[in-house]
Amino acid sequence: MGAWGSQGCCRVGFARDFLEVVAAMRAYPKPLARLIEELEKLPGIGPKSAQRLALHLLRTTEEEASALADAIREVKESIGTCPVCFNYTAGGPCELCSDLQRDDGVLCVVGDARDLMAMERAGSHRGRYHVLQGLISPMEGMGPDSLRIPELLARVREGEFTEVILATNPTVEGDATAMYVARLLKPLGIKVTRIALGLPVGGDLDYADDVTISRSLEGRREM
Amino acid sequence: MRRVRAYRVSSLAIRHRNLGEADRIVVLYTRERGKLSAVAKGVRRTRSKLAGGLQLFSHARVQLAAGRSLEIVTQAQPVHLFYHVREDLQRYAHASYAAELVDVMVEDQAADPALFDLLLSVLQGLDEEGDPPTLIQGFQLKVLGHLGHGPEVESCVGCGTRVGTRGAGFSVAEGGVMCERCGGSRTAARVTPAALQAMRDLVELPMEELARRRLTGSVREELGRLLQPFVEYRLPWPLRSAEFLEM
Repeated sequence: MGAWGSQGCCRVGFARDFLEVVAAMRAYPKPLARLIEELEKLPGIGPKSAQRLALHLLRTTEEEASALADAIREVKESIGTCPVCFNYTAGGPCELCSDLQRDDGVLCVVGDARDLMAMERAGSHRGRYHVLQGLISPMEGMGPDSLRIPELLARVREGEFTEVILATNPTVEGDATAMYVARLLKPLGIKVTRIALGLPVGGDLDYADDVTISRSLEGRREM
Repeated sequence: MRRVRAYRVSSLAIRHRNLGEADRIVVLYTRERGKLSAVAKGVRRTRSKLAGGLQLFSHARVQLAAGRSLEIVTQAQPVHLFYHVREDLQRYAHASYAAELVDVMVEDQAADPALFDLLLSVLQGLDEEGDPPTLIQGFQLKVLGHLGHGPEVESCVGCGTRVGTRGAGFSVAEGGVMCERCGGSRTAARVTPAALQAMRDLVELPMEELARRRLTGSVREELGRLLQPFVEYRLPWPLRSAEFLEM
């Protein structure tokens, strides 16, 4: 079959899937159809997956289904952002901010809560955190004013930090944000560091881009 | 049997959006096929072999395969990452504006090598020492001109007579300069001789030359006041990055 034919075939296949689901929705009782509709709104869930999940939930026990419903409700009711570091918290300063064992001298700045969790998973940073709640991205309408940068400056001014580690992603957005924040922090006379850039563990030199290789050479260490 | 259609293009990444767990949809402006969207699988993993060449603004040689609805990136070899753009907020904002302007102004899958070269040269200028406002104002005029929306800078858009630099007006709605007589009767803003001459230079000179020039503060400001609404008037919606040009 030629290129046109194979592509045409895919399009027809997709349309058929879609029509199938629309027809099936009509066949379902209203509450079930509503559940499918709600599940479909979740990221990465298409009409077919939504249907499968809804039917699965229908088959689970009453308790299991209620546990899921309660968990969703509880998260929405109780989780807010920490007034100190802007990580997620169940009311008041988060666990990381109220932990007396942690080092008050080092502050690690991350883009969002998921990055914080990745840092915590590694377990090497024992200081405090600051979540910017985003990265500077003009195309997304995200400027420095949309981020928790004033709060960061206030924390550094008032706190006892001796070092601020900028641990935003090594992407265009993350690098630009780190550069911007570094420029604001430097006049405060504090040590500002950026997480190292280089080859990932298990990586392949052949596939690394020029900048990554240059950065890994700059950050080389004696053995 | 299904035919695998893979092809290579020279591309600039102009926008991206995360997809699922570790994938990303990248909007590429390619020299050979114009704007197209492609799925880059696993690109957010640290060990991804695609990540380098698909970063925002990066120039790369990319291999694509025709997918069901979007193309799929199978290889990406970075050519130039324009790394300095991200080290300065002003350059970053201006590069974002250039990418967004192209993204909004062109349709999918319409090859336009000249426009590709314009975008490439403005990113090069921003990555090197070029003055961001000068480069972007030149880029605005060149992109609009290339796509047939550029302002008329030589003759009056009202009566067609050649306009000298003195006493000229500029009309956003009419699409260019106006002579003293026509400009007075319609909604044209005054334009100083210096700004009009600068506008003509920006249209005429190649991007590489603009990268070596710097408009004076007052001319740059005046051109900004004239060109910003002029561009916006010709777009379906205002650009998000426009408000960051003043940073």
